Amino acid sequence: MQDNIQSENLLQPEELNPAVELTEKVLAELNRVLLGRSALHRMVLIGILSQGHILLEGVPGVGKTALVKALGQLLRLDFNRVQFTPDLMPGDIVGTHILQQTPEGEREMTFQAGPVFTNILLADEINRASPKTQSALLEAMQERSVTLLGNTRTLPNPFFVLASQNPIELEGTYPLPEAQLDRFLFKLIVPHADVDVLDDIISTRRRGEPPVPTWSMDAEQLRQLFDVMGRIFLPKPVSRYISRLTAATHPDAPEATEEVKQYVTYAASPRAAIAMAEASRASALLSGRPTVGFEDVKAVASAVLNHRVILNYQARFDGVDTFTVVDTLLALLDETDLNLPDDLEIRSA
Amino acid sequence: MNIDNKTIRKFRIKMVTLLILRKALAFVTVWGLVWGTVVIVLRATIGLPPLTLLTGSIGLVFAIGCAVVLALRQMPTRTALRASLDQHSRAGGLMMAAETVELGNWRKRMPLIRTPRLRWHGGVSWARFVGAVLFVCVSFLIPQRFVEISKAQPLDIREEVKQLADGIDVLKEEEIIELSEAEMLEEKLAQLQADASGEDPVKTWETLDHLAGTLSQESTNAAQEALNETERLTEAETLSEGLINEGSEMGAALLAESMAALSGLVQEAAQENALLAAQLPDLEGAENSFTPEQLKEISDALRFTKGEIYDRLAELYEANLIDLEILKAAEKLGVCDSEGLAAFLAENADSKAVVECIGGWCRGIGRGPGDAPMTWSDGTTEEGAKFKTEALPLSNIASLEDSELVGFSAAAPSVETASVPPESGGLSGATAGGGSSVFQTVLPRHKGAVKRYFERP
Repeated sequence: MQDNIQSENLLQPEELNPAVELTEKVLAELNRVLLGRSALHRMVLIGILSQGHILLEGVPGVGKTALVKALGQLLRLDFNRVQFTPDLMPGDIVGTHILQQTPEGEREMTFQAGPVFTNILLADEINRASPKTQSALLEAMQERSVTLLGNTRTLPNPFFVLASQNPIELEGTYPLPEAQLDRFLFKLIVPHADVDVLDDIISTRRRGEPPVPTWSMDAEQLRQLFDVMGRIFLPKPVSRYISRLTAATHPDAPEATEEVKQYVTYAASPRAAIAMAEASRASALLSGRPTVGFEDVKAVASAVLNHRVILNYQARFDGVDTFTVVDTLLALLDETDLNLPDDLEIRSA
Repeated sequence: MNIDNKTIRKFRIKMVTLLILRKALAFVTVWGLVWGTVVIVLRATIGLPPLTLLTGSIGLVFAIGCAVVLALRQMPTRTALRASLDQHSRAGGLMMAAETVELGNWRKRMPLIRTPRLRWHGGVSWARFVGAVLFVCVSFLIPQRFVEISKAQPLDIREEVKQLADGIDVLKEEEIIELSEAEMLEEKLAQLQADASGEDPVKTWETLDHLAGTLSQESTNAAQEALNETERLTEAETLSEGLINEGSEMGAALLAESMAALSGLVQEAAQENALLAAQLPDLEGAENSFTPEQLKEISDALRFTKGEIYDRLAELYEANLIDLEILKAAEKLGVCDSEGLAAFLAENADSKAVVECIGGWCRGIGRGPGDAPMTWSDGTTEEGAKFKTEALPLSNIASLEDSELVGFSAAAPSVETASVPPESGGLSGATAGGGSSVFQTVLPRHKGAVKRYFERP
């Protein structure tokens, strides 16, 4: 983790440009490997740069696993995939102690690490596992360590969880509790590919297998990226906007919109504001800027807030989802906090 | 940095100008409505001239001052303005960062910062402002007669006041009232005319009636004195004329008595009337014996004085201070038959004094018996007088509920021949047995107690 304290010296172009080139290379390679997902790739990379966990929601076959595999290959990081099922136990995730005989003939409890001990973990269909197993994984996500029989074992650095959730076949699933959803930086919707993309896939990919990445990043380059991330400048008005935006998701907040007041039951936590600030920094980096602008916040706000804002039953009846509520909030909340009268309007020259 | 500050300053000036204009327009609009209302109210109630009310324009300065203060308090901070410039110039946070850190090489790459356009949708505010200005103009330019609808109309009592003032002048000229009293009445009349209001006419009319009553009372008293004086002067004049015409026919005794009576009447009248005293000739040493010339002068003086008194009464009548009947009475009292007076004196001088004869003659009593003096004798005696004896009626039954059924009879009912008790007067309801003017009904529940009382041993 980088230090959050603002640097007095702004990141200069010669320092920023290599990091930007690296991110562009990653995005270009991801776009080459997985067709028609450039926006999703950008958001996933933002999540990686923010060192956050990502919840991917989409029907089977849209390329979630392929995305994670490609990301692991590009970043040259270890990758594990766990298919979550109802009978999956916590030990199957974090590991367990087994009784083994030593070469000296003695028997002792030896720790057998689970699949969580990796850099990138793909938790496939996480909502199919029991709450106990989900909880074990989510604790590891938050603490970035695993404690068994009194021994705490730190997970590899970096550690990302990219969980997938199937929105259909909800029978026999355990929806993730709202408090645990909060630990995911983003919840991204993986949409269906459109006709042109499908045409490209079936015409250029034999059996749909993606090509192997021709370039990959080494650990040093990834560390440099994280260092640059820590020096992206967050101006005071932007941090203020993030705070106001997060506060405005509360129904009793002064700046809450009518939709928020009417439909929101539980609002975003301070963790959401922190996540939004980090993701905005990553967005600015991808845009090649040393400073965060309001547009960076707007670019990540929906992905940060949509799984943290819980709506009531009235919203279901009215067909209102979190994206609608958050988009309305983004449209109505004045970024600069000028507090101008309603009859005064500022237009770009 | 300098370029940024210059742009921010320019943007800030534009914004503060617009905010001040917006607030000032709202405050001036409100002030205009208040000012116009106050102007109309003051013109309608107090009748202040519009030029005086123009001093209310000082409030505009206060309103604009308040608008400036509030607009400056509403002004966004420089940081917010810088953020707005950054956003509208798509600087991606570089301009915001320039406030706290040095941009270095990024300054060359920063997009051109342009001042955004500020647009105020102030159509409604301008319309209200124009309405308020028109309202103020109308409040000043509307004619005074249109705003005086609620002002109380003065009560027109000029005619009545003039009449009373004339009356006071007459009373003052005729010296019927004192000068100080006349001045007091004139002041009261002037005050009444100033205070007369259509809102409370009764009070004004009552005061006018009171003043008119005061003047009338004074005039009537003066007229009554004048009538009495006229009567005495007429008696003296009649006697004087009688002596001139018939004096030679009178006996010496009657003539002397008549002369003495005339002297007494003239002296008494001269004491009461200064004008008569001035007109009379010198009668020194001729108390009981006047020469024909002196009698003539006395008669002329009496007639002149009587005429003056009559003229005074006529003036009072002209001023509506006395009735015509008083004037006619004065005219009637001023005439007396002097020629028949001698014969009347010759017939009655033996039994009456000359003065009494003159009084009776001039008051219209002719040869008849005239007024007889009242004579008082001893009181009437009650001897032999007695009250008429009359039997009081028998007691009757107070009401049917106290009656008792004796029985039924087919015969005609017997008629009581005794006199019935009086139906009215102090003995109404009283019976022979009761003997009291107070009739007390005994209730049935008390009958037992009353019965036991009379049955006790």
